Order: sequence, then structure tokens, then C-alpha cells
Amino acid sequence: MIARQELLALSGAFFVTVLLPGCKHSVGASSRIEAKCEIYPRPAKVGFSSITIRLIDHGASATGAHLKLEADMSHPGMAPVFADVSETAPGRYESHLNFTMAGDWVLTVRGSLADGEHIEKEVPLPGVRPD
Amino acid sequence: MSGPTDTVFDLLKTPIGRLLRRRGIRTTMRLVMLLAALIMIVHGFMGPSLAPKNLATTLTWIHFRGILIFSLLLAGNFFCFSCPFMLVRDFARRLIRPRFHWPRALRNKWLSAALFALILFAYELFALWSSPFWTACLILAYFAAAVGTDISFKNAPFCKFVCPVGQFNFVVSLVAPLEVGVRRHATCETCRTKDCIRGTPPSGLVTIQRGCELALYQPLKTGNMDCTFCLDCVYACPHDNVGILSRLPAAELLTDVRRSGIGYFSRRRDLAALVIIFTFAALLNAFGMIAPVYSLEHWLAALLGVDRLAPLLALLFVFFLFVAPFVLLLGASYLGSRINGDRTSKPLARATRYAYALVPLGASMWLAHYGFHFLTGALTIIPLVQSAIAGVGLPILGEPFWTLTGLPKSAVSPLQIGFLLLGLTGSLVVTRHLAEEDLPHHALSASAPLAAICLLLFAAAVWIILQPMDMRGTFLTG
Repeated sequence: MIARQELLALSGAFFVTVLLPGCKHSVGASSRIEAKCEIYPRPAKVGFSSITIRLIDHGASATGAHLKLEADMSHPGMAPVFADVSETAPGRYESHLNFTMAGDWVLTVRGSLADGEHIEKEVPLPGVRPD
Repeated sequence: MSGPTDTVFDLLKTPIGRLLRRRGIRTTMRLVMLLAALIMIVHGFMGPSLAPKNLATTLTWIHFRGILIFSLLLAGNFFCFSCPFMLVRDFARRLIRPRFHWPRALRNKWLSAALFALILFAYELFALWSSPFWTACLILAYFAAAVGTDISFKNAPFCKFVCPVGQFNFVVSLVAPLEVGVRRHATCETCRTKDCIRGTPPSGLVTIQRGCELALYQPLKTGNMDCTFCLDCVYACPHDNVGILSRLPAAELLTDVRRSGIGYFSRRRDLAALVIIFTFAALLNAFGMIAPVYSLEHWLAALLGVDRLAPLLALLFVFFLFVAPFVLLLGASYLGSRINGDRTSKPLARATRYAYALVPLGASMWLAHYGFHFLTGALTIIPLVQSAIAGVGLPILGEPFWTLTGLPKSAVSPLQIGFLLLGLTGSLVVTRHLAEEDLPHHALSASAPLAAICLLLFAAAVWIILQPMDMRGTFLTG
């Protein structure tokens, strides 16, 4: 039989978790930056797609950022896809992603701005089509 | 099935079994599962909102489901044995004693079958696989339902009449290779105390051991239906006469004897309905992950002028889980009777009796589906744990290996087909056997209509498996 103290400790831990819905994970990333993503082809298909990201900081292009791109499926159990991003014009960043499966994806733009501030933005990409 | 057991394998006589016999092991297993559940709840609420990066979604929808189906089919219902809800429930019962008896009208599987279908409906409607928050809420809801039910009502009504996961486990374990059963029936015949069902009365300092809370009296118990493998009967039996015995998987479906705590399968329409929902939901759940379902959605939406997901999904569920099985099974039953000039059995009674033959096929489809996710994504737990530990400020496991997943899809597909073939074989064997019992001289023609349904379901399952996956939660997108 289990000791009463252990049960009390466990049940305490359990009921604490009941209070957790009010808490939420925060990525602690820049909130002043806006990231707009465009993808070609549209709608996106399985295989390689071109991704264009525009970073906007208070209405102006955010230049000089160092970014990485990650794409995850909305369903767990699949490997994410990663890609490097390069700046092709002021505030305009481009990359190529290889979508491995049809379905809903989420793009995560992650990196640092010119001033070193961390940036992380999630962009939903629903309905990637079969090839 | 229970019987003389000197010649059968008894897990409890092996080193693993001797470990299982220790009551502390059950508590330890439940504590481990409780700890896992707590971590999943915390991470679901506080961790990343992206499902593949969250322990709640990944462990629930990839690992739990996969390990569950494999363990059920390779051994037996050891997940109910390790159920963390029961640990919390037992503790809650120390504080609040249940006072009521479960209502007579609900002592059947209708409620749990409806809840099972409802959970699958919610899974599709709210894309639960993609939401750590709602997955954590679902786990919490399970704990609340288990505790709420069992502190109000005596015995184990949550396990027997409510828990949708439990019902899934009960149905799959009908084709499991192990069952909890009596070693020597002669010993039971001389037993006067019947501790396996009544429990051990208090004796001095000895702790009271409860008997089976699910009303399964060991000498009359047949098969795994309603058995949670909790081993209370093993602990209670003063003669050490209960074991975990080997058997031919699905053998219990070949016979229709009166089962303790259950009665005759052939008279239990609620159980047959559960089995039918279980089987057809296996296909529907997998169908929800391939592109044609979206074409069907769009077609239905245009046809009905509906642009909301809930009514369309409800329509699909009603059709695939209720209308189609009802028409198919009743039609097959009627046809089988007509072919053989059998006027004695009513189509509904025949359909109820033969419905259980679908279990092997249904179980194989769940295995093909959940097995796919598990086998192709089992290793995703490694980078997730690395990431979760780093997330609490302890990056001691290094940079997460996000590219770790599992077996390639091309390696899993043949396994899926193999699982389905095994399931089809099992269903055909059970169908034929039941027909031989009913009409020994016309078994082939008597079983032909239901065999045709099995083949139809098998073909549908293979077609689904061979479609490219399309993991979309947004049915009406684009």
C-alpha cells in the first residue's frame, strides 16, 4: 500500500496543475516586429517552396537580421524542416523549404535583429497540398 | 479461456509475473503513469503551443496510443493495470466514501460507447492532436470524471460503464494472447470464501483486500471483457489459484457462453454496438487523415449549403458509425438467413451475434493507424525531452536532435498491410466458426455475407493506408 504522505504530496501536485490553465508559455521574443510571409507556389505543395519574409519594425523594413526558418506539422510525430534565410533586399528575406507531407504546417521564423534582439514569430500555413 | 492450466503459460509464474504479484509494483506503475500525466498536463498548459514541441500532444497522440495498442495485442490489458486515474480515485475514496449504487439503467455499454464516439468526434472537430492546451484539458477531464464517478458510486463504475479508453482496451484485449483466469477449477469448487469477488475480510492487522470491483467472478469468468488486469483477484485468492494465462488470441470470440459480470455476448446489443463503433471508427479515424476526406467534406458542404465543420462532421460520424454499420450488418444477417432458409433467427439477433467477429479486423486497423504514428515518430520523444528540460533552464542534454523521428514510412506500410491481413484472417475465422455452430451443413453460405463485409472493410482499410497522409486539422481550408 502507498504511504499517506506520498499520496498527499502527489494529490497536492495534481491539484496544483488544475490551477495551471491560467499560465501560458511565452517565447520571450520581440513583439514590436511584424513578420509577413509569402509562399510560392500558392497554395503550397509537397516539395520545395519559396518563402519570402518581410520584417517590419514600426512600419519600416527591419534590415540586417539573421534568421532561420523552421516548419513543423501541426500533428506531432513528424520531423521539422529547417532552412537558412538570406536577406535579398532591405527587410526582405528569402528561403526555400522542402515540405515533406501534405497537411497543416506552422512556420517559425527565428533569429536576431540587427541590434541583437531575439525574434521568434509563428506563421500558420494550413493546407499544404499533395504533390 | 479459463480452463485446466497445467499446460498453458502462466505469466505470474515467471520472474516478471512474480514481480507483478507484488502489490507495490501496481502502485509504482500507477505512480509512474501519474507522474507522466502530471508532466503532460503541466507542459500542455505551460509549454510550447506547437503540438510537435509539446509533451502533452506528442506523448498522448503518438506514444501513449502506440504503446497502448501494441501492449494490448502483444500481452493484455496492462494499461488499465497501470491506470493513474485509479491511484487518484483510491486516494479520493479515502476521503469520501461512495454512497450510491450505479443506476441500473446505466449498467451497460451504451453510455461508454456514446462517449467513445464523442471523444473521436471531438478529436476531429477540435483537432485535438494539434492543441497541447486542449489535450491537457482532456487528461484533466479524465481524472475529474474518474474521481467524480467513483467517489459517488460504489465498486468501479467508471471503468466498467464510463471510461472510453477502458472500453477500447476491453475490446482490443478480446484478441490479446493473455487473460486473467483460474488455474485449477477444482480448487474453486471447494472454495467457500470466494475472496476473488467478495474480497478478503479484515483479519487482525492484515489489510483488507478488495475483490473484483467489476463483478467478474473468477470461476465463471471467460475472456478479457471488462477485465482491467488490476490483479485484485490474484491478491485476494487465498489458494493462489488465479494466474495470467496464455490462450489463442480471439479464441473467446469463438464461443458464446455465459460470462460472469457480462452474460451472453449474443444478447448484449450494447456490447455489440460498442464493438461496431470500435471497428468502424478505426476506419473513420484513419480516413480523417487522408486527402479524400476533404473532397468529401467540400462536396457535402456544397450539397447541403453548409459552411461549418461541426454539422458536416456530425453527419459523417452518424453515417459511418451508425447508418452504414446498421445497414451492412442487418443486410448481411438478413441475407444469410434467406440464403439458408433459416427462419428461426431474427436479423437483429443474428447481427448482434456476428458483430463480435469484426473485432480482429477493427483491432488491426487501430494497430495499423496508431502503429504507423508510433513507429514513424517514436524517437521524437528524445528531442522533446531535451527541449523541455532546456525550457526549464537546464540545457544539460544538449541541443535537441529535432531530426530524430522513427522508421521511414516506406518500411511501415508493409507492416500495416500485414497487420490488416492478420485482422482479416481473424475475423473470417470467427465468422466461419460462428456459422458452423449455427448451421453446420451450410457454414460457408451462412458466413458469406458477413465475410463479404469483412473483405469490404479490409479493402477500405488498405485503400486508406495506401493514400498519402494529409495531416490537416482545417477541413474546409482552401
